[in-house]
Amino acid sequence: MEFRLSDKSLLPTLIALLLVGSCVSLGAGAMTIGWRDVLSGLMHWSWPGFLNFDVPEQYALVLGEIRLPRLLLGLIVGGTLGLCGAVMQGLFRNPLADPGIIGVSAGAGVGAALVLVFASGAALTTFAGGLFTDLHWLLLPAAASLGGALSTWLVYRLGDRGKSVVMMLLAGVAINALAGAAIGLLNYVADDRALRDITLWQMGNLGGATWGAVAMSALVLVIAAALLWRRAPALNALLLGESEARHLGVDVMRLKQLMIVLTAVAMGTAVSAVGMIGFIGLVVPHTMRLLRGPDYRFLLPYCVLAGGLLLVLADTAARTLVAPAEMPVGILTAILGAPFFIYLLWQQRRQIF
Amino acid sequence: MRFSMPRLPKCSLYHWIFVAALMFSGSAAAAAPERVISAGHSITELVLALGGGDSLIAVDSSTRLPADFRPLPVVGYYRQLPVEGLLAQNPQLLVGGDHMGPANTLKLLQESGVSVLQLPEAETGEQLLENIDRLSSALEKPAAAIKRQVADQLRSLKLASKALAQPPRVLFVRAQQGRGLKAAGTGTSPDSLIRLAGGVNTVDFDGYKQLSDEALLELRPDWILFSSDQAEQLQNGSALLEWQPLLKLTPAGRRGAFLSVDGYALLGGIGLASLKEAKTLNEKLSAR
Repeated sequence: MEFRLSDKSLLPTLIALLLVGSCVSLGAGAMTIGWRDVLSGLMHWSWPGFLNFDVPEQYALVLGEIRLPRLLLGLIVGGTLGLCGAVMQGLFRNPLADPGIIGVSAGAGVGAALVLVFASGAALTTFAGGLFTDLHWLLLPAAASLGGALSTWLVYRLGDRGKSVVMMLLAGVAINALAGAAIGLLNYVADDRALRDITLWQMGNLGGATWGAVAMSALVLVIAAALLWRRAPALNALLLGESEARHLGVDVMRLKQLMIVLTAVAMGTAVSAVGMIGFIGLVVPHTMRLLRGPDYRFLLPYCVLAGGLLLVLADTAARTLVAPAEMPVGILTAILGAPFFIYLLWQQRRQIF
Repeated sequence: MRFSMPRLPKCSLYHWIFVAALMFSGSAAAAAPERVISAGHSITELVLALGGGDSLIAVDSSTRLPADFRPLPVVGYYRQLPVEGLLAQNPQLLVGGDHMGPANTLKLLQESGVSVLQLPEAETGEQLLENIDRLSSALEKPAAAIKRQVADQLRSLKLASKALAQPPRVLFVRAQQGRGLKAAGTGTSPDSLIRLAGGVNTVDFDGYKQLSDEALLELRPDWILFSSDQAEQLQNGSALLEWQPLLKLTPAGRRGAFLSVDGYALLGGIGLASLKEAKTLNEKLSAR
């Protein structure tokens, strides 16, 4: 843990990488668009007729309606995953805690799958006479958040309020198994269309990025990050232990409730927008902690930036490697993340038992 | 960055070019589409049969092109088509089944001026003829010859079905060792195939469902079908008897009445290959 960058060099590095990564992501894709046309295409899309840009109409559409929302959704969802990972690891005071491993993503997945199977737009219309159709877009994130909150709470209580790592991991295994069974059951009763939605969505994919999804997840990320960042000193105090934090004047119970609710809502929104994307919540906070130390005032914003960077890079790879087809990005992050997790386990094997 | 501030004389020149481009694109839309992407094996089959092979520029991963056909880019699975991957092929028309998606991809394609044609999975011969009509008008290719051929095939299938003394009870299964049998119920492509061949599907539930051992006895299938992609694994049926010994008590099991049907004739409802396969199947059902 000796390798640490000073704040002065890490932040500019991250921001520079983010800018470069974003440009690469905007420029890369199945359709070949030169970098000049990327700029003029985006200008043309955002303000048609402002300057007489000489670009095909189709470039403007690909950039403005496909690549740009996809890039932004990647940044936001990746940031959300990084942030939630950092908060989870703080809540459980263990670097192995990750929304995926302790079953939060799976819980959110069950909530969303329930909506996909039983509350398709048509079913709701016949059921409630159209009352809910306007709110349908809210139903999926809401159900996913509820599922995520439920499993977080369960893991937290089973893990002796976050004190027992082994219990927590076991609870995560149990919840993942239970969620797997529930999704299997839903698969069984689902019709063809719902089945496709669930499968597509379990693998995680940014392909369905719309401006609505971008706006929704951005709102949630900004609120969650702001509320959590304000409590960064309290989170730091919590690192010392619960009773120590209490003596330092932190309302530990309320802080933990805030952490659970915010993570569940943020994870729920992210999961409902892009499906299940594993390991970013594990890899990013751990790497940032190695690079910058455990101070939450820096850890939280850095995790947001690095999470976004990682997901955008993974998504760029996912959609260019097998072009014109596409890979589900969740598979790529898992390939990247699983060896990292094994490395983590290796490092910590004495601490766990 | 290439851009120029609008100047008056240039502006009018641009206008003329713009108007010319509009007229050109207008006339292009009226002509037969020259760049077509087809998603779904049975649809591609129809496109080729209608003579649209020359304009085909990409297919989805479920399509098996004829061996002597030129290689085409594959744009992914028809249920999750990537919008940019499709646009990169610069298509004029995307044709596919009604399960093609996701919806956002289709929406964005249409916004960028690509025509999208979704055909329902045909469950009957009439629906297949209707699909041929819609596809032929989208591709601007004459359909009369194929329609006549399909109608002939349907007529001879109907006659052959009537010739069967008693419609045989047929069960289509997908099998996995240790995990029992899944049977194809109504609304599936095997169900349509069985009916075309003059048989009766022994199960009447919707879609694919797991069968219990006892239900198998109750269903009394005369014939058991499976997809050709499982033929080797099932050793033409003898593996089925091993995995599910109760099968020996059914009429099909006693006679060893197992048949393999071409897996590609079972994709996306009734297609041209399904008609041919139904004929073969009917002959086998009539043999005993």
